[in-house]
Amino acid sequence: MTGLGAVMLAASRADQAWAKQSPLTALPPQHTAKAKRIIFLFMHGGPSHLDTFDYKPRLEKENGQPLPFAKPRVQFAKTGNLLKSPWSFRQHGQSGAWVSELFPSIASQADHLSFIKSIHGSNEAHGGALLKIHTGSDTFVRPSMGAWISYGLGTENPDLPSFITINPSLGHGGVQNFGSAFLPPIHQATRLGKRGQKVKEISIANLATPNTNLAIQEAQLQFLKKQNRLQMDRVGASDILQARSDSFDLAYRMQSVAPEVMNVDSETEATKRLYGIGNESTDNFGRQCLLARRFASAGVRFIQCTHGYWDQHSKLKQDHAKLAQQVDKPIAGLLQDLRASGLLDDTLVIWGGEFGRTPTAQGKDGRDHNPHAFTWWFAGGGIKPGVSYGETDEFGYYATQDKVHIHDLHATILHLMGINHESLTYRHAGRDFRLTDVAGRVVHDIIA
Amino acid sequence: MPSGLKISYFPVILAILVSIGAASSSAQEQAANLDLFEKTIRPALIEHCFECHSAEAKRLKGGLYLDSKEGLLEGGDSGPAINLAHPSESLLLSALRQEEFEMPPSGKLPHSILDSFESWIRQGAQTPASFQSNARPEAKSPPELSKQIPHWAFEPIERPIVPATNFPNWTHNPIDYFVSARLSQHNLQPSQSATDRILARRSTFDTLGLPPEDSEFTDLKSKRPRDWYTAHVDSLLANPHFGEHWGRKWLDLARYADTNGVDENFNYLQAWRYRDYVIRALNQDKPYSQFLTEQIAGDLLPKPRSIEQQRDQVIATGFLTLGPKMLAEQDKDKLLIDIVDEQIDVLAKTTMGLTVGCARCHDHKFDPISARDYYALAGIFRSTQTMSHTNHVSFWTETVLPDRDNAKRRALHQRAVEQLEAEIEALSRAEESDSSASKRKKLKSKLKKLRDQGPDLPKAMSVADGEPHDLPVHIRGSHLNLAKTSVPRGFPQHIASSMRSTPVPNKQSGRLELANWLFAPDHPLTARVIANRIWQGYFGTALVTTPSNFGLRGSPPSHPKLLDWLAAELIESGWSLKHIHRLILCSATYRQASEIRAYPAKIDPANKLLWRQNTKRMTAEGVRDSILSTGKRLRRQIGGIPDDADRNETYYRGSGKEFNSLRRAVYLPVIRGRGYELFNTFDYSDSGTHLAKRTSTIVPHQALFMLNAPLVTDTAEHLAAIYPSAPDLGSQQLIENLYHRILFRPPNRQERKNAQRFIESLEELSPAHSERSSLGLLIQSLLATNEFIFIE
Repeated sequence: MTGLGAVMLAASRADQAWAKQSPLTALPPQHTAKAKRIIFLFMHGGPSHLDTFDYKPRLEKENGQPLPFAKPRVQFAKTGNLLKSPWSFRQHGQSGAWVSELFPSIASQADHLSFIKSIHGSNEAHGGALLKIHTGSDTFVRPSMGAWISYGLGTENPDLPSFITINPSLGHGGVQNFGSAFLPPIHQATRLGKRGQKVKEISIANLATPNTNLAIQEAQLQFLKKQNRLQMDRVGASDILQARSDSFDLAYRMQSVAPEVMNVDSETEATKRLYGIGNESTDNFGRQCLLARRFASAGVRFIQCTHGYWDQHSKLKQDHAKLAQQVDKPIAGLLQDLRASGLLDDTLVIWGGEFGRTPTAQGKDGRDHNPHAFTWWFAGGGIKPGVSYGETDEFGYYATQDKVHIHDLHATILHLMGINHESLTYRHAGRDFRLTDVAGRVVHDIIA
Repeated sequence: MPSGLKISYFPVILAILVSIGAASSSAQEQAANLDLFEKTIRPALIEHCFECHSAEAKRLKGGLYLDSKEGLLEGGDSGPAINLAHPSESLLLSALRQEEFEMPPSGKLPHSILDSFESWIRQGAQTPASFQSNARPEAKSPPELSKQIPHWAFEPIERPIVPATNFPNWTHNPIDYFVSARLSQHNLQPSQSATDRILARRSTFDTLGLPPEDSEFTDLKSKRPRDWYTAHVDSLLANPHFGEHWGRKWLDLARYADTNGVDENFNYLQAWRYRDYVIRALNQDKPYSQFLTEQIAGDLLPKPRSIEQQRDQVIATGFLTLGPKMLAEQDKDKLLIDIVDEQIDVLAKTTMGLTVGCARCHDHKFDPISARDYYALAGIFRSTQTMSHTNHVSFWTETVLPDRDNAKRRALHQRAVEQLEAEIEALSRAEESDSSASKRKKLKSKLKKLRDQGPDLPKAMSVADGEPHDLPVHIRGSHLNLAKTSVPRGFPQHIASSMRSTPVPNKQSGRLELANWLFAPDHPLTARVIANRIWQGYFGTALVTTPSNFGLRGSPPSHPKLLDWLAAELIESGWSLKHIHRLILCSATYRQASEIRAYPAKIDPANKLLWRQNTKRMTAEGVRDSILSTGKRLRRQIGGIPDDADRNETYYRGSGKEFNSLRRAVYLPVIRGRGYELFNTFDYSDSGTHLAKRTSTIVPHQALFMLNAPLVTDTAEHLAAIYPSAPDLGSQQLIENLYHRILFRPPNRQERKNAQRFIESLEELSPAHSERSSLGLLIQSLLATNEFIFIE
């Protein structure tokens, strides 16, 4: 069976004899690394770094005055003069991390976080920026970060997908943001729900059997196996035919394992409270976070939770407050829970959006997109906690000191997972491709 | 500029500059300047710049060396780094101030260091004699293109002599002579023909993407026992489903979709016309030369007589505009050049099997495509109008199609407008009241909408010629960093060079000349590439296993002479694609059994030499269409608008209901950014890029689909309901019928027994009122077998 065999071979890293194995077989990392899996809390829409983690006293002082330097050549919308943050900032914990009053619970975890405040991208519109963050390219169709990691490391649990995304947006790049592009499609994310859908109602496609009586399905599988065996006796056995026959056993197992893992309600009341489940405003994201924790402990490699929509061109005060409130407690709960169970040691938690926002006002109470400066934070596996790396200018418009490009972020994330970003490659259309293209610098300062 | 020139001028420039420096400063000043270099400048260069701009750099960036005086003066791609005549204009200073470039990328250096750089340059930029290049790699650019090693794919196509064969009784046509000759070289024998039933099933899937009908097969066999297969091939090639199956393969190459994808997922409401054009053209066996020329330059061809052909020439150019576009990109120059890049990429991969995109930033590292070649092509497409406007959210071009009813439609619209105007007029004359004011407002907005919409005329996504102009090379691919002179529009200079100097007319984009160049008599790629793609459709693997990369990094052909023979046949037949289809279908090579034989499997496990036919897994579309067709649910309407609930919306906001359509998969909307779950599960996940070959994985999600998806269970029950129930359940005849229907063959004894036992066990397990019937469960199980989904 040509073609198929070749594909499966290509699906795993470099010339090993993989034909008999699944492309998702767990592979060892390239170098020793603490992080074994990732939970990416993606804040869709572009939360304002200036109102959350990047404190700018001069912005406060010069509120209403013009920006004393030039705005970028290309802007998404017109903005006016400087707008101070409506929220006050305070330093927290031993590390003295600045966190605004938008995130009181996350602030209480400040000493476990490490911030990069000098991230910059290039695309000023949501779609391009999302694609850049997720795939490294806003120009070409490229595999997503989770797909690359699934390709590089496989999965720890063959009964579950390696890459799961919960409530992603289907706009702004849509499935491309969690797709596999030219990597084998097995590495694309299994999608649970979409933006705006209640976590309570989401599931994996075709997981539920229409047979109320499982014995019926077992009888069916037995018959199927016999029929496949008879065919192989006739045409000659091949790995491919055998693998497909076996895949039905796997599916049958997934059918029973996955719903168990996804049953958030089996957790104790105390745990649910910790995540804010049961409280109207925090219930949904709390469930996302708890689901992420359950997938993480079951061995899923990359889990993304998406929350939105942080795009406050207007009504900054009202909507940023509302959105922050929805995630603050669930995220703090997740960090506490992961730490208590020891899972935080080898789970990398990442928080961030597709860009930051402008220090200059759009209307009276809004900020425009700003790909030139934004903040992400990291916690857990392999991270040196309590660090603040990189700086923006005094108003937070541009990243200035120790700038970190999105390729650098990707290089750092892969490094934390034990992968050298320059050697995780895939041959396509005549050349080797990388998540980091031809760039990428590991930010060692945030690594323990 | 060739590097040779740079080097020969260099000493002269250096001498002049040095003398300027010397004239303007005393020896003491020079010493101080040198001191500044050693104390501040050199350490800063080493710390912040050498990583990317020195002989030691792992990868040199921007072609710029900052580890020598020559490097500073000569500069990189963007020009000299320091300018001694006008120190303040030095690029190095501008970059360090983060103006034109942002250097170093890790952040701006402290002011004090910037000041030092400025005064150092102002005072002559003194460096010690040792600060010069020594072990610099000589060649900055790839070897000169014309001097590249010969590569099979760039050699002209010559019709090879058909070799002799050791298996004269086995062969049907010249294909078999080429194949058996290679087999003999390795002491291998070809396989005998597969059984008639397997052959009928295989050939029907490979041409139509659908299972054969049992009655048609038995009829034909009884009518024409000797030559049933040739008659069968004739009827397959004349079947309108042929265009659907092979059209879908072309749509993969053309990255066809019904929405834009990327940032703003707008509906491509008119894309289906291009899809239908492709299906139509393949069914008509439109010559490939015409098919391709229409897609590249249909709008520039002479106006044909027939209105259908006029329409086709507009619709065909949709090929150039179906790509994903960053409609909300605010840097509109970038948007436009990115669109051009996407067009060149898809066109070159599809037609020539070349990855030209590399040359956007630098001369191609392996293939004979220079950056100048790239911008000669880019000029052609930048002179083509793809977008109708580039407002905040840009929009592509749609052209009204000639149609006999257009005048009527215009009149209808005009009447509706006039009627509304009259109503508004009447209202404004009537007495003013709150209700009449609000009614008038409503009517006015309705009128505006009606006017904006215009008459309901048939339109197609298309391109037209824009303002013709040449483009300069974009240094490192950046539209903000342009070379000083433009490259005349044209074609790659080292391929099909008989036409290299064919001029592009001043008043046209050059697309028509580009299409003609693809069909130049000495073009080595066009025919080979498409012949190879057809081969892939029949064997699962092509002769060149990288069907969209015939360049130096692609795979060499397994049967080079066979490929050239097919290419020559194609050209001589007047570019008839069906001629190649027929040759392959009728060959003994194609008809071979797929059984694995121990000896050849040891010598050639991957079957590169074609000692048997390959077993192929159905594509996503094949899986779906075959299930529906087997279950007698498939709606066989050919062409037309997709069944889609939200056709009038700008954005795609589908509910997913449109995938419930029972038409063939090729008519389901292809939604970028939100793939149909079945497509994703069976390896068709990306409609945003040119797809040369579907991957074929085996994953538990596919098994879950076969076990639990409503498409499968409903279809199984639908088919079950057609067969007689209770008393005959499990009868020999029924089981026999089912095997024929689903696996296109009678069951053997063991299979009969298994099926009977399975039904019996189900009857015991499931109460009479179960939602699933025993027959339905048996049908579903047979649909889930390897034999159903793999074509032998």
